[in-house]
Amino acid sequence: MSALATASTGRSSSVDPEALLAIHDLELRARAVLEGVRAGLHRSPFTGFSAEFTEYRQYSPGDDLRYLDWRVLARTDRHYLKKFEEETNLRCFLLVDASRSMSFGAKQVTKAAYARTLIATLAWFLHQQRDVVGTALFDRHVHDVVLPRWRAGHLRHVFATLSREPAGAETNLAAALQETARLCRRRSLIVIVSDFLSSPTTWSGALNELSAAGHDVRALQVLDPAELALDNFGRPAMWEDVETGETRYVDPAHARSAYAARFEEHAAALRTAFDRAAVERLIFRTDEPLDRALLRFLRSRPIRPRGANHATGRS
Amino acid sequence: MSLLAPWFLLGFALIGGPIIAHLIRRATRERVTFSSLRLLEPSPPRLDRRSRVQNPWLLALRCLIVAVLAFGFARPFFRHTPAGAKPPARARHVVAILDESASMRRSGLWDAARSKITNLVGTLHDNDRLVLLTAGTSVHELITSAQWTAALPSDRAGLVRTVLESRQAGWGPTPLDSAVETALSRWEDMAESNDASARHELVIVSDFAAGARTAGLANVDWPASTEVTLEDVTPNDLGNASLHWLGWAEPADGKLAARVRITRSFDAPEALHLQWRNALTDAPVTEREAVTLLPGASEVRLIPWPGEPSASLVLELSGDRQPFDNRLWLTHAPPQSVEIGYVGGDAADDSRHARFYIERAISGWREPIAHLGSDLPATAGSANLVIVTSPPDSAALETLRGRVTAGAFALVLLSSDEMVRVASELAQEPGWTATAPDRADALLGQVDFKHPLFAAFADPLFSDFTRIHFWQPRSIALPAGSKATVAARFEDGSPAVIETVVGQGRLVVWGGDWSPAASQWVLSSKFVPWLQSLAERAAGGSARPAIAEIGDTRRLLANGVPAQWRRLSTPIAASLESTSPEEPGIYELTQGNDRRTVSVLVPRAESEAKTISLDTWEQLGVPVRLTAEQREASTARDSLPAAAPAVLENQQQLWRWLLWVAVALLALESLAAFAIARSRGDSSQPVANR
Repeated sequence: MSALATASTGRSSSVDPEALLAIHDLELRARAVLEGVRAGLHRSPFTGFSAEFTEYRQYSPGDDLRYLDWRVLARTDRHYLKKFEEETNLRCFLLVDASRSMSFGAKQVTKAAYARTLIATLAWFLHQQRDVVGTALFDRHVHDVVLPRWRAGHLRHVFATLSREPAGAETNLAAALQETARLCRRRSLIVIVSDFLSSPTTWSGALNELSAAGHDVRALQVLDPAELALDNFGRPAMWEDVETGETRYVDPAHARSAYAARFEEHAAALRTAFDRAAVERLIFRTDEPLDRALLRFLRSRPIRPRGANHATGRS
Repeated sequence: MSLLAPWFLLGFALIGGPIIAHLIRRATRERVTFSSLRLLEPSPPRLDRRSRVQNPWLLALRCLIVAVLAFGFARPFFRHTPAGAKPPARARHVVAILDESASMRRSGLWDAARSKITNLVGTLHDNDRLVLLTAGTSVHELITSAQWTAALPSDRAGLVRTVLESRQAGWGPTPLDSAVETALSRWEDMAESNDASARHELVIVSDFAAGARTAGLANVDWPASTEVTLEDVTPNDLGNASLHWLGWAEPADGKLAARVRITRSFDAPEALHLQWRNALTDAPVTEREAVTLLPGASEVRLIPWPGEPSASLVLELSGDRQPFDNRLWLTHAPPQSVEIGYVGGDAADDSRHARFYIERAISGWREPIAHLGSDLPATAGSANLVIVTSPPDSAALETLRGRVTAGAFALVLLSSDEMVRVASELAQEPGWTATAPDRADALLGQVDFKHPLFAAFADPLFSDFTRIHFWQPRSIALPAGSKATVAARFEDGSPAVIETVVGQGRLVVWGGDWSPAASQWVLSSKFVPWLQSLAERAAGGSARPAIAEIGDTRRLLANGVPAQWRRLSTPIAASLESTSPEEPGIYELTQGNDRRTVSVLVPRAESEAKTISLDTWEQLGVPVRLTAEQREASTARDSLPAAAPAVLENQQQLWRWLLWVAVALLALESLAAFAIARSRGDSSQPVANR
């Protein structure tokens, strides 16, 4: 209750993620974050164009030929127009990393919990704007897919999916992105939440393909503060890769500088990969309040129209 | 310090175990899971070494535990008592056994042995006690514990010297086991009257010849804290030639010969000679005969007996520098003979009568040699046994009675009722009557196997009399008060065989005739041994040897009869002795009316040149403590190096102390490890996913 009460006070008193994530229910956490987001948000950041197909109708002269169904015309030699719902303005697909590396977290906050809460809050936010939201988890493959829809109870379905414990496998982001491209045939806002610790050379191609498919792809990189500075690891020990099981003897004091250098190299490679795919990347530390993180995301870059996207991509 | 099992020192290699365990434990316990190691480089091993020394004292403690255990398993012991060691606080109860067997007569041994005892006395303190025993033909107590304590401490050494000066090495065997048993009983006596916590020390001063009797030591229950010190003495001259008695032989020419074994050790002189001497006068009987024998060899020879068979001679081996076992005092005792008189008048070749079978039974005897005569009263004067199968006339009966009264045996077969009267008159007991058993086919139903007549059949293997039938049995109804004893009864309980004493002799009455028509007795396998045992008794008893070794002269004696000895060989003794002889020679042995000449020899085991090895002592379970000389000689003797360390280690048992040290270190290590684990738990920082 204290977390909720604190969240309702507005942006100036953001909730510590550790205290927030102590709330077991994901929906409650999302609601608490959303309260803070609303307090700092003045208007919708999204200007969407999404339309939902509903029915066919006979062509009448003067109708916009853009909506003529050419396939039906070719098969039946009849002229039909496709009708669309215009209630929603955004189609959003939230892709959450459920690999084992996301289970890492200093103290009580894991990257996975942080990312799920962030995505749940975002999903709720979009849903309240009558945007259609879908979600999926990925590690080696994409699983637990909830396609974007607009219907009653869909958001609970999304929350239920996000609440599932990760299966615990290594990350194959390239395969996940390729599968996502197959799942999202229509132009969507695709938000990828991951730690992006794997080498970008393995998945940058798939990311380019996804972006080239017309999707507005956003990358949210969630990192633990300990991963950034290699702090609070104490004495030398045998370190085990949580995904591969590989172990090696590491003295944090000795390895810190080299790690920082390599991490910076990795970050540079990520920047290159995301820039090349025209994907905006935001870095979130798990000690950053979630409402601030979400606001930062919402204010980062408006959703681009397709043409602008194409124009940007071609430029 | 030495090690009994040094190969256990390889266990020191196990010290690497704790070191590796420390390193492995660092790697396993201090484990951190991280999201990705892709960006991490392994740290150099320099940091491993630094981590190892975080608890070096704990590692050292564990290494020390392994080292102590390995060292304990190696069974360490001290070969020498540390210099300047304090004298034991506890009193010493010392029993010294001085070997005075025949082998101690070798040159220099006796003086050396007495010197050892004197030196031992010099090491004793005022509160120590000493019992001095000698082991020879028997075990003698030269100085008792009471004598020792009664003497002033300043006089004790003089007491021992005085006692020893009066002693000389004997001629007997070496009964070490008997001496040790005596020592154990003396310790018990001292413990009752003195400090029960005293140290028990047994000092044996001997040449430890291999012929010493040690078999009984295996059964000795040694008291705790007993230490046995073997003080060995060696002769000035190790060479020895010996002469051993093996037995009598009759070569093909029928002349008597002595079978002897001549042994020559490697260091013995080459020129050896054999010669017969008169045992009583020591005068030579034959010329000296040279003996050619290779060093270390022995051979058996038949030496013809040069004199009359009844003479007493000495066979002497000359030329040897150790003469104690070079003389054989020999006397040849002719085999016993028994004169058997037969009163019955039956033809010798008539198989229907008993004589036929008696003659064939006695013809094969070698001891006693029997002669059967049938002319009474001609033979009655010398017969030892008279068998009566038919009633003699009154004169013959009178002669027979006189002979029996004088010591002969008479066997009366009740072939007719008339024979009952004969038996009654011979027994000088009127009133004997003959009765016939109920059944005509009788068997012996009750046999007294303790009776001398049937003692030979006491073994169940021979005690079956149920296959011997008697078809004309007769039993005697003895009057009340009769002295006769019943040796066997028929099935109905009536006496079948009785014996009674008549004067110096004995009368045996058999209830029936021995003819095959009357019984199966003479055809049975029991007839010959039964008759032979009766003849032996009539001849004076079973045959006894005439030659025995010192310490084993009981073989010469008849059981239960007091014996008296008189030495016949030089120096001739004038008086009779009731104790067994302790010197070799020719003796006159008197037991009752029996008087015969016997010879007593030096025990052949005393000629054994080899000594008892320390292995043997260890196998016998003797808690031997080596002397300094033995330790120094251990490298030269084969058996010593292996046995001495085991004995020393068993006495010191340092491994027990090392085991306790290891246990204490283990407890300390457990406490330290627990404290470290606890402090780590308290001070550990919250680290991601550790």
